[in-house]
Amino acid sequence: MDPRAILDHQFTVAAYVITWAIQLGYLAWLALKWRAQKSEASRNTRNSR
Amino acid sequence: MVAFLFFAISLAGCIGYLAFRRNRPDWAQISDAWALAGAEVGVVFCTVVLITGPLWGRRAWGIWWTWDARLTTTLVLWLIYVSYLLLRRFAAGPQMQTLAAVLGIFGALDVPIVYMSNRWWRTQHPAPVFGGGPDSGIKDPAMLAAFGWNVLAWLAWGILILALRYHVERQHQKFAAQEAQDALNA
Repeated sequence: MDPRAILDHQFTVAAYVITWAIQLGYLAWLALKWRAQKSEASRNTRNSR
Repeated sequence: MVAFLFFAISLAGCIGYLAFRRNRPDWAQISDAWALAGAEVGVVFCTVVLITGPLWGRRAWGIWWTWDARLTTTLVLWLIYVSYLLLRRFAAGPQMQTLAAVLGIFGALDVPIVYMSNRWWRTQHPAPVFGGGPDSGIKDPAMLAAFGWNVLAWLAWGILILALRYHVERQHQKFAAQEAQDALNA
């Protein structure tokens, strides 16, 4: 077995994990920001009535 | 490559903001939201490139990083857009959006330099796969299909998060405008 194949596999897994951690982390941050804005907007609407 | 598209959207937004800020404030706000969304999504994609690229470099070249033309110009691009986002996050006052738009245009000037870097300067990076001369291009059709589907998939994902980021920013702008109106009315 070529030991470099294991290295390749490890590097590929690392690349997938890093890529999706960054992308999904950003998506989660956006969703949290969106939810916080919506709840703040509805709170302000209730207070202004 | 996908990041370049988002930086181009940011550039269009920055130019739009500067063009409309005096006579069409509503259009200027829309342009500003596109500028911010494009820059932020571009930075996300550029971050992925700067982290996963060294993984490939370690395997192919035996080193994690070298100051070759493509890597250095990409890092400079990332730093400029990170400073754009920091300016937007921490600066205040009426001139912030204008300053950010100018910085965004300045950052976009680096995009063609990044693209051309391994054509202009033959350093560590390999010759370009596409548009690099008569011998360039992917020869294996299976690999070409894999590459094409990859680009399409990442483009679709990027457009999805770009649209979401734009929506969040527009909501923020409307909320801020409403707050300012309420303060005036009080």
